[in-house]
Amino acid sequence: MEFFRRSRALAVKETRELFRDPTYLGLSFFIPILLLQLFGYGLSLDVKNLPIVFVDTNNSAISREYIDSFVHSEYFDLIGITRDAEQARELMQRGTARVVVELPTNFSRDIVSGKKVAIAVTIDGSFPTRAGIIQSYINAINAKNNLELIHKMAAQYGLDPDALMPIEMRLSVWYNPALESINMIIPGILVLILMLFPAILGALLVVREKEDGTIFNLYSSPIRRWEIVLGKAAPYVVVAFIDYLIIYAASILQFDVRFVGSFWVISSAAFLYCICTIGMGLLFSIITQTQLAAMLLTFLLTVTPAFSYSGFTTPIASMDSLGQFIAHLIPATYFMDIVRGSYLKGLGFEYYASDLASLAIYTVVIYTICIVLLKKRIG
Amino acid sequence: MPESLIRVEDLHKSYKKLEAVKGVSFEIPKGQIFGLIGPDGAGKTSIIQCLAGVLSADRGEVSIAGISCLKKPEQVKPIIGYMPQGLGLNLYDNLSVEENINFFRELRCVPERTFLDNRNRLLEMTRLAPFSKRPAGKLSGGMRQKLALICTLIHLPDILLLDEPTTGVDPISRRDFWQIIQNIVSEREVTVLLSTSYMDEAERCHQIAMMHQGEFIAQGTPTELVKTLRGQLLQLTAPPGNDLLPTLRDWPMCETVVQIGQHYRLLTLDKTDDATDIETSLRTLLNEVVPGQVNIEHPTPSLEDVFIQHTRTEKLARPSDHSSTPTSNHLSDHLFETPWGKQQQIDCAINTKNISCQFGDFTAVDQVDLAVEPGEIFGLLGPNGAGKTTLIKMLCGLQKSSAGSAQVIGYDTDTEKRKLRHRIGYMSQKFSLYRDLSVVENMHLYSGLYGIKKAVREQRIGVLLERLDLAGLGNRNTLSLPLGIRQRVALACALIHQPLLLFLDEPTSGVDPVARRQFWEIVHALAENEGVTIIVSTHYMDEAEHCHRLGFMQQGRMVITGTPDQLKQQAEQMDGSLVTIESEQFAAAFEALKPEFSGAIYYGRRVQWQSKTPQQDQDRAAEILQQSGIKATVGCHPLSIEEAFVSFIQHDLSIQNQLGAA
Amino acid sequence: MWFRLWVLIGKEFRQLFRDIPIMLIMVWAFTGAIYVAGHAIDLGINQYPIAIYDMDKSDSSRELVSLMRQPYFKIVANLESDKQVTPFLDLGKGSLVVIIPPDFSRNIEGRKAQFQVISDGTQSQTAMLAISYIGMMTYQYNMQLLLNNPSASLAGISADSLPGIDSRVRIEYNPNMDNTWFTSLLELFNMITLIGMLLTAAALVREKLYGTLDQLMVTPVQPLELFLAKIIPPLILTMMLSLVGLYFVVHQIFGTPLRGNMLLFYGVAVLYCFSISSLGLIIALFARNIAQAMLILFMILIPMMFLSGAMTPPESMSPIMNYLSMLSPMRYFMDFGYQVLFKGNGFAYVWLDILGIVIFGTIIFCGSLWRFRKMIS
Repeated sequence: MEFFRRSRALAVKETRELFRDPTYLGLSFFIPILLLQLFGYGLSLDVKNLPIVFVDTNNSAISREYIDSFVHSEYFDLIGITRDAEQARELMQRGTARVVVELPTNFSRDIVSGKKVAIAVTIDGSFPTRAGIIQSYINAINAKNNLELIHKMAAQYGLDPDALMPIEMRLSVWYNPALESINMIIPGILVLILMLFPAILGALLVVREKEDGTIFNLYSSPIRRWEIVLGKAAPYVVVAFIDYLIIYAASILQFDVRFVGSFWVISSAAFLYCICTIGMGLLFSIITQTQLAAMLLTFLLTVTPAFSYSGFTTPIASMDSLGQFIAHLIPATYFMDIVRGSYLKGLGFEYYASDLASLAIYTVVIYTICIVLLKKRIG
Repeated sequence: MPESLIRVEDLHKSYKKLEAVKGVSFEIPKGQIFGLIGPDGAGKTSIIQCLAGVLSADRGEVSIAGISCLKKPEQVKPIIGYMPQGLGLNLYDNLSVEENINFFRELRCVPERTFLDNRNRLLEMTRLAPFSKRPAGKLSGGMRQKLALICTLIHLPDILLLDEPTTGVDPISRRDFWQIIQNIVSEREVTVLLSTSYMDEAERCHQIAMMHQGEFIAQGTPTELVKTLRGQLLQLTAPPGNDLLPTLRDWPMCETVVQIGQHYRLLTLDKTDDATDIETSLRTLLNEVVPGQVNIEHPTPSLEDVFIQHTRTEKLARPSDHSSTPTSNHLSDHLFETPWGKQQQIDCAINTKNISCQFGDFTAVDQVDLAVEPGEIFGLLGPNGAGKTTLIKMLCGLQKSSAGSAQVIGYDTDTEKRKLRHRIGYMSQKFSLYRDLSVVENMHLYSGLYGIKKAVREQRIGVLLERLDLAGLGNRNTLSLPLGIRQRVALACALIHQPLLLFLDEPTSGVDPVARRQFWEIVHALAENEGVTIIVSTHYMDEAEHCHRLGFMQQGRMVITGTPDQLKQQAEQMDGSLVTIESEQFAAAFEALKPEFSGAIYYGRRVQWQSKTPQQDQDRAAEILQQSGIKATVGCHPLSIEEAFVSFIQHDLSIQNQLGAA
Repeated sequence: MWFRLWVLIGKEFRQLFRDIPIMLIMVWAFTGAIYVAGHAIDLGINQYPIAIYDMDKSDSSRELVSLMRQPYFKIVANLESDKQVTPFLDLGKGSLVVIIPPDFSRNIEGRKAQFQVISDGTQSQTAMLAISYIGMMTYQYNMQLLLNNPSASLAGISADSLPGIDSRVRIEYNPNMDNTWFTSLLELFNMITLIGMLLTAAALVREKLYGTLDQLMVTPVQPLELFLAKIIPPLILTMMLSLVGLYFVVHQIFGTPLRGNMLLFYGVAVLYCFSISSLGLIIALFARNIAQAMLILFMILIPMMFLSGAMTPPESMSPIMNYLSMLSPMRYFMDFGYQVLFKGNGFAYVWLDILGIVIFGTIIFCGSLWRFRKMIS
């Protein structure tokens, strides 16, 4: 039991230091919870309240009706209606408006006479994703309007309006039927938080003792290398796991995120993931000589990749081969799969076997590298 | 011959281009204390780290109890205790004393029983028990170092590896420290390897080795080594107002001479053994220069003298080494072409009235009144945490005083900081240089900050590099330089703008004796030739003798000020003179005498105590020693500054305790 | 003053350049990291992985499937049985399944045909987009069928006479909605923020710990000079590297157009970097060791990045978040950067952002100076 004793001594020491330093506590608990709140309230990814401006030189009842069809949808916020195209352009240039819709002068006349009307829509492409969504909104609203026009026309010609549009798409959305973004964001944020903060905290573990000189205590004692790794990592794994429990509880109790899976499956995966992310931080800590370098490295190699490649917002299958390769290099990808599945899909354990196995292999590899690279000697 | 526990054979270690250890071999038998002395960068730390199994070597063999420390380092680690260099660098500042000890206990898996006994004893011996709940970060340097020792000893190691364990520690804590080491060596036959820059500590070792540039230049027992001193050692005392240094330096028979306050310690060249002959020729020489009578004594040589001789001959044997020839008239010249500015206008270099500094409810400096004359070398002595550094920081305007006022070279430290800063120099404990910059780059930086023009700057840097023995090192990175050289670089940086007043905060901490002597020669020259006032704090009591006046500090208060001689006399009146027992079997002598004389302590290789009835004590001691069959020389010595210091500080403590109790 | 400042800056530069690992990491931050970030396809829909379960296998069904084509959709599987549908979505092999029933073509003749779309709603935003695209395609297909309809042609309906509003959409500033443009710039802005803050904070804390700060403060150096000297070298380095990142990675490799006035952009980038470095200074003043400085820095940086408006533009934030984000200088810089670089806007458009950056910078810088003055006296 000697190994246990030595690792425990190290773990107790780490825990004490953690609790004595408000900055460690803050980064361990306060900031993760704060981030969760930020995303829970207000930082939604839903594209709503889009500022829209109409250039209406027609200014008729029909054009008003058309504009109303935008205003009544929940997506747009009408900034104004103007006759001056330049002014509208200006508003977009300023960023006051994200969409400008120009109705031609003959808008109402052409509609009434059953002709095609071309309107010019300009969308601010600074946020490309949002531009795409705006485009689809506008298309949908136009399609709806057009359908009405066709129906009217069909009535005129005495045709069966339904038969004119023979194909109907029947839609069913699985897992998140209302397509609520909170169901996507909170589980995603769980994955990101458990990547970022454990890695940052882990990154200080060894390099700080190197810079302070206390590392020689460990080097000159009989403690084995894996015991050092175990003792250093264990308290922070617990911290990260507590973070997980807090976020999990908040997601269900506070934010009413749909959760259909098994608590035990997601918890065991989370535990493995916490071990893994702490291990990544630890690895950066072992290969660097200064805390500054360790922190920079951790930030560059965890935050951005986890955010863009873990499948938080985009399916991994849509990435090109380099993207997919990077995605599979980060543990967040595997955990994201399990979290999404547990929250929204509710599948059995066997579905996660490969993700769990990947996480486990990843963890073993990380810790093996840690132990190999952690030399109890200098020079 | 007892069996050797530690064996080092032909050890080689180099870092990139630098060869740190070049084929060192030695053995340490069980239960012995082995001391490594030598300048910084001599390779002491590398040897200790190889033994501790934390450093790999290039060639050779290092073993403990027959186990190779290089091939199987993990097998030796359970039986060693290693304390790295630096004040309590192995402690975790956020953890309390108790928690630190517990951590090391668990790390070493110490069983409950042994742990409790050992811990309680160690806490008692170090007098740290009352502070067990205090975070290590809030302990003073001396306490930290004692705690670090407890942590190293908690698993009852058979072998102790201590790397400069007492550097920067005050004399009182140092005494506690050695008490512990000597106890465990005599009780448990622990084998100790330590490096030190204090010669009195080296004298306590069973064996010592002097290192220089990666090699052993001398090895043996302290007594053996002292016998290797060639030439004669003379101590000259001239009437005040005479500078004998230039004359003595020019004397062809002189090998080294060093000024210690009023005295000159002179070592002659190893040409003849005829004592009278040399003394006569010296007297003839001195009669021409000095009007009055010069007193010549023959003191017992110390290890320090041997060390200096050895390192000097080593250096002389290498013509490439530039630092070997400090020419005699060299330091008496003015340093720079531009005169150093006039000090005459100021009556008082420093004048403080009741200045205090309060941090929360802790009083770092408590109503200090201090007056220092221009051109004076004033020494601040006190235990770690006595407030010396804070006082110095207040005087140079780095720390605002919470009460009282201070005038430094005529400027108020709180309101006229800017003007003050142009005229003072400051060198801190840590020799705060930019480690990633070269020597010249550091000097460029400071000359730039004082707005020195390029032409003047180049000239001054040239002079400083030459005078401070730094020539050829200009492009070296400061981090790669030994401490002793770094210290001179820091001094050069502090001198580049010709300050009127120089603050030196523990300027020689951890520096070897040769470098320290060299440093003090420069300090003397600055005070005498340029009229620079110097405020210096130190833990080396022998250095205190270099100062014109001293101030003893304790718990933020200035306990007493005076010249070294005044202080020694006063202390002698208070606590009596010093009874000393010199013996080969000093440890046994100590055991025998301890029951009778409770004040007895080790100092070097002797046992000593202060006594108001010295004659009686001497007789009694001789009697006891005779009964125990220990051969010893019993004598009576005048007090040194160290004893005077301890006397005053302990007196002050007992007064404070009485006040506290009342 | 200028001479001392010059000397101090020289010293800081030397120290910076000697830290080889940090220099390497910085070069990576402004090249590799931006490339990696830009390479990821963020949000949006592109190559959306779908499966087709075509039970009909008629010309009509193939016609429908052919509409669902690149670049929006990528057909990753053709399913053959009902049993395959659930695992396909469960395992996340793809995110959408189109099921065409066996009677699809027959029903078209009969004027009533249905097909089914099953969407994985976990990534709600992309799912919504994909659904709406399929909706549009269905509409187009219907229109085709309408025009081919014999009764319609009988009634004289042709493509021209069909009433309808036809929107000609133009995406301003980023016509192909290339997300790389956006994310690579975002990463560049993130890196300026991160590096500017970290380097300054680390440099000051290190001086505090090694005691060189005391050494400097006994010389005639003024706090202002010291602070400027701490800020300027990392700032210059960050700006040089960001120039490399902007021109080579963002512009050359990803083809992002740089429309605005580069002088204006870099002028304000310098101001921003100054503000952000001041934040680094104040962190360093409060921190007791390097670890603390790093942790405090991340405590500030991470929320700041999320509130910068890059994830959610201010108009979509809840009012509280919107006000909160006004405290973050990054919000102003982000807005400024996209406006100038994407839209080519001039000073008249972005002066409010610049004002925000300047006000923030001034307050923080003066605050840190005040704090430092208090500390040393």
